[in-house]
Amino acid sequence: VCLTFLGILLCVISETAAVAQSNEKDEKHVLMLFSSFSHETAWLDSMESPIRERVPVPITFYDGYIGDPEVDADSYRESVAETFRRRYAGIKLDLVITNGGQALEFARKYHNRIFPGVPIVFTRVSPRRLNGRTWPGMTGVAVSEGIWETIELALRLQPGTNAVAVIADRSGSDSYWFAAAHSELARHQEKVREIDIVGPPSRQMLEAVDALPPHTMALFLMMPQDSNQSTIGALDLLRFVGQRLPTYSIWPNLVLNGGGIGGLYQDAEKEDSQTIQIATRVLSGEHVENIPVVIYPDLKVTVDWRQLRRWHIPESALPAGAVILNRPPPLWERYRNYLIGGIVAIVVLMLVIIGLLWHRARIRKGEAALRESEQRFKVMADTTPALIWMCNARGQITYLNERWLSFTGREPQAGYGDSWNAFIHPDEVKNVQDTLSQALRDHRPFSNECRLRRSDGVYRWMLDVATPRVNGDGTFAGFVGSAIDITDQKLAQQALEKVSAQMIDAQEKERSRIARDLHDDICQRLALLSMEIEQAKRVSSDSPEATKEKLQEIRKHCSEITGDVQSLSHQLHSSKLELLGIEAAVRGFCKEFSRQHDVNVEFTGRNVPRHLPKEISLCLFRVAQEALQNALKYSGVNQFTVEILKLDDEIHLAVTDEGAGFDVEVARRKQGLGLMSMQERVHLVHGLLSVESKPGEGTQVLAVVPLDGRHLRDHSANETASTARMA
Amino acid sequence: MKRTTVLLADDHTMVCAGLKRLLEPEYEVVGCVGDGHSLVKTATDLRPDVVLVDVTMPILNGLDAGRELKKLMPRVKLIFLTMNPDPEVASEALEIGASGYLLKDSAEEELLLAVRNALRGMSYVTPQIRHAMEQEFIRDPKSLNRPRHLSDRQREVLQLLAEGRPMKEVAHILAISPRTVRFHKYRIMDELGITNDSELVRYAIKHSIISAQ
Repeated sequence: VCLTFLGILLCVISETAAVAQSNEKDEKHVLMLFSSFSHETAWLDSMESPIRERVPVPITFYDGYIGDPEVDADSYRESVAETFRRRYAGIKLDLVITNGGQALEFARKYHNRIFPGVPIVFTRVSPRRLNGRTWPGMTGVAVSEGIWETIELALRLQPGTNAVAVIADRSGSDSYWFAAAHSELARHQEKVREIDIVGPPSRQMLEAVDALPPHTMALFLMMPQDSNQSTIGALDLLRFVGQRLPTYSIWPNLVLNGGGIGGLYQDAEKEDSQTIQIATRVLSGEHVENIPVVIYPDLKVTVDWRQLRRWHIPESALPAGAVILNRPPPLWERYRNYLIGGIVAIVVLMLVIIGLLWHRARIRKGEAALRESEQRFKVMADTTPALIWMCNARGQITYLNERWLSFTGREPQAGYGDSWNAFIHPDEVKNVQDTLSQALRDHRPFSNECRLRRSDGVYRWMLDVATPRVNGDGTFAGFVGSAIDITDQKLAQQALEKVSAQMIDAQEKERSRIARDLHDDICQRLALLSMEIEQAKRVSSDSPEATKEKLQEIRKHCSEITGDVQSLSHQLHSSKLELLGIEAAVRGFCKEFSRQHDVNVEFTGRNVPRHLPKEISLCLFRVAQEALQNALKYSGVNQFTVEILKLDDEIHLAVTDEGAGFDVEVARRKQGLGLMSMQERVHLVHGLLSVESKPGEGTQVLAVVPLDGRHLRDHSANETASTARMA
Repeated sequence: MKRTTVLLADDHTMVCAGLKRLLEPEYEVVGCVGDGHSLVKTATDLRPDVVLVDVTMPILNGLDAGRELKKLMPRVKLIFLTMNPDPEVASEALEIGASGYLLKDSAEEELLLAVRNALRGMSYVTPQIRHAMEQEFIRDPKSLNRPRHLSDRQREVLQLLAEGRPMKEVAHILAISPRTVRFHKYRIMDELGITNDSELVRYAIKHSIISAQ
């Protein structure tokens, strides 16, 4: 096995070496034949390197320029052939590649003379020229020149055409194209008329073109000639024709930039690659007879977009696969970067705008909420009965509610400034300022009482309570405070203190009177009684008669003392009120009062229920007592009227005299205990006490007490008049 | 024969004891209660013939208790024995159906007399009070046929009311409260024996307080 493997390996190595050797020996020589040098140099380049790449042996290419067989004389060709024969006699050519019909003709004619037996591969040849023929030792590629197809296309795109102007040069190689066009047009002679304008280019040709009838199209078959330096060149003529007629050509590349519509042309790349392939096969050793001639009918339609537009030819009329040149790239293609940039910019702007709108909406929402909150605060602050103020961290007033302004009568426009100090009672300014500055240092709630000047100039006692405010970040922002008028409370408190003192005084007086009565009178009499009993004990032994008489006397004295104690007790509290009701009690009191003070008290009672709540009957009884005492003291007359009656659900008690009267205002200011205690009593049972009096016109005290427990309210029309509301 | 039963009602136990001693020889004292409420309850239970009751008692006073008792037991004899010499209280006591009204400092004989009288269907009031009661009933001659008299203020109110002004307006004019006006109006009508507004107007015209026009 090992030996076999070694053998195979040796075989492979030796063979590879043999190939390399033969390669060095078998260098290939290829002759490239062409007729128009200036146009074929590019073709030479395009052929040589691909063939070198494909064939694994070195290749030497020889350029064979044969001149222009269509122009030059046969003698010239003969000399070219002779030159070639001599040049390539010592070279063993492996392949001859011909370019174009002339080169093919030349190769065919001088084949045996110059390179006998060398295979020939032709290219750039029309199938028309081959005309179905083949030759031994020759193969190649044939591609249509496109004349027929171009005419077909032109007639399809210009359906209204009735004449075709063939513009060509009958000299040189162009005559070939002219002939070809003529024969093709002959097939369409029923449809279109042929007008030949034949060059070389000249002014007469321009005039001929100018004189063409309408509905004529041009078939431009004139090659620009470098050597022909006349005043008018082929390209000038082309531009002239292109401006006037729809112009087609079998060389679209030629007409496309000269104002022509276009035409059909060979796909040179395809043709070349096919040629390269065939050449490679031949060079690789394949027999040329085994390679068939390749004929390409494929032609590419190429048109100028600008000319289609100019001649109103719809793109839909073009065959599939047509190449449309000079079409301006779509807007998107042309301005893609700008458009993308613009769109990005718009999107970014939109996002920014949306963001801003959203932000604004949020701010507005926030502002609305803030406004609403402020409005609510303002409404609350202005409707509250308190005076509300705010100050900043330095103690400067930053806000005063409406009530504050209306209370002090300060103009709202006047600003805040030192609002407090201007209105605070001078005695308290320092205290208030000290409290505030201390609070500003401590950031602590505070309260104080001070007098504040009202708009009418009256100083009112205010209780001011303040609490520190904090900012959103928790720092101290100042104080918010509210002040309420406590003057009435203060006065009431003072009055209460005064009344309490008077009450205590009165109570003490009453006690001392009772004590005096008990001590000076009752005690004395009891002592006397005790003495009488002692006396009786002594006389009892004398005679039973005398004793009995004495005891009788003692009993009488006891009875008297009982009566007096009874009376004292009655004065202190009438049991009649409880037993017989208010009417009887007041009537009894009136009677007693008349007797006691020798005056006339006229009593009237109407519809008064016997059983009234205890506190009501006691209240009315005391009012009657007090009012009669007052009347006796101040009226200066001895005729009084006491009336008690029930009206609806109220008990009315009136004590009237027609005496001196008094100024109710003055009496009210003095706050005498009598009036005050009556008022207090009536108030306690939810009633009203009114005192109607004028100096010299008598007095009426009227107490009205509700029986159904509701609070009575006075609707007195005019408080400042002589009638004062006492409850 | 069943002995006459007596129930005592007095918040002073010593008084009770004294009374019991005084009455026992002749009557059967069935109990002694200290307040008006107990009196009503005990009396309805024991059904005594005579109840001796003080006026001043805690919880429910003697007068109210007696009134209640008379409603429940109309045939029971009530005799008030009290320190209260008020003739009005005495008349009230008799009015609710009491058979006697005595003062605690009256003679012992008076009590026995009063009980005996009561059992015979007669009433007895201690002479000290009887006198005062008679005085009560003698009318003040001044109050009889007294000429109808209106005060100046009443005349003012009458004039304004008779002119057809509402009470509120009258109050406003006179600078007094509407309640006071109402009181005056009521008193005027009461004084004149008038019951409605049209009579008021008629009176005012008749006495030239307002003109007829």
